[in-house]
Amino acid sequence: MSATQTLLTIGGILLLTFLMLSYYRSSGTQTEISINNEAIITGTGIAQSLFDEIQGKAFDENTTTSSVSDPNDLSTSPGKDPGESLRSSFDDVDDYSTYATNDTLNKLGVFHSDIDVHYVSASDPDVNSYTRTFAKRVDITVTNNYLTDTLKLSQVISY
Amino acid sequence: MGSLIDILGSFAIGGMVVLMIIAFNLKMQEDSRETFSNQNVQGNTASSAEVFDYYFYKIGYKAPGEKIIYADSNSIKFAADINNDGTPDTTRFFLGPKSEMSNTENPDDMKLYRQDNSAAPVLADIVTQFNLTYYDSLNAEINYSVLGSSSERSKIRGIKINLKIESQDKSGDYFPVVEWQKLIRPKNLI
Repeated sequence: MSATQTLLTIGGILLLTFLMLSYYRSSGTQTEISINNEAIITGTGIAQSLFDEIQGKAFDENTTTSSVSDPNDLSTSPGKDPGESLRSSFDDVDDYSTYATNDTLNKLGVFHSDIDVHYVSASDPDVNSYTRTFAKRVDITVTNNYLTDTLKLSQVISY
Repeated sequence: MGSLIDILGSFAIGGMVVLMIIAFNLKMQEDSRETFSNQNVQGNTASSAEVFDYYFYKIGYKAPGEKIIYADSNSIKFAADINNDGTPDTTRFFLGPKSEMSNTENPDDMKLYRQDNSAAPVLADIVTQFNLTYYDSLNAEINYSVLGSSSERSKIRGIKINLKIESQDKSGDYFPVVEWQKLIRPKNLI
């Protein structure tokens, strides 16, 4: 075997090795994307369940038994009210502010959800309002080991 | 002697290269099958999620009588004016027996059926788990044993759907699987 033939053989094997390594890398990425997609589908379902639950509650602690016509009559800051330490005792939307919960699935493990509630301007719900308004934005962030990024969903609830 | 070593060496290296190519080819085929199965299972799950959203959120809509007619761990029958024509419809979701899917490689897959009014049941999806959990207004789980009573069923405010969809055929040594769950609180039950 001449030196040229040896070099050509080594070059061929190297090329084949690079091709295989490149394929295995892209195959790994494909698997990651697939699991991430699955985690997004599941995480979204979990967040939507929480939105459903929150939407079923009164808009504010001060609207649980009576109505309010002036935003200044609403609670000053979102959060749990006295005696509402358990989720089953939450009776209005902002009781869920700073609440966190875990849902565990067999395959993808724990989905951790953090909830935050803010007053927002009805005309610009992306921006938090420092004054009381008749609109609250509920932000839910979902994290899971298989999610490549935090899943964040928001919903505005109006009175 | 030198040329014999060359020939033997060529055979050894050539054989290794051929084996590498065969293994590579098999791996590509397996990955391709796995990707297809995963996409298929994820697509089915997303479609089922849409179907559940469409029907379950409407439970009790324009249904003056009993809203949930039957409820257990893997089947439910409810009343709702699904097509908004002023007449309440009944919809039933239930699982078929595993024996219906005995021709597939997966031993656990079952047909999930949907039956509208008295029409023949239609296939909603093929699943390996369809589990329903019922919650009352305090978010407490309602025991299945009491759900035979109409007054207990009228306490249902939330329904958690646990769905597991696996591929019908193995990909490598496992069945690609997607799990999905959602707690639905139909507005007309609140």
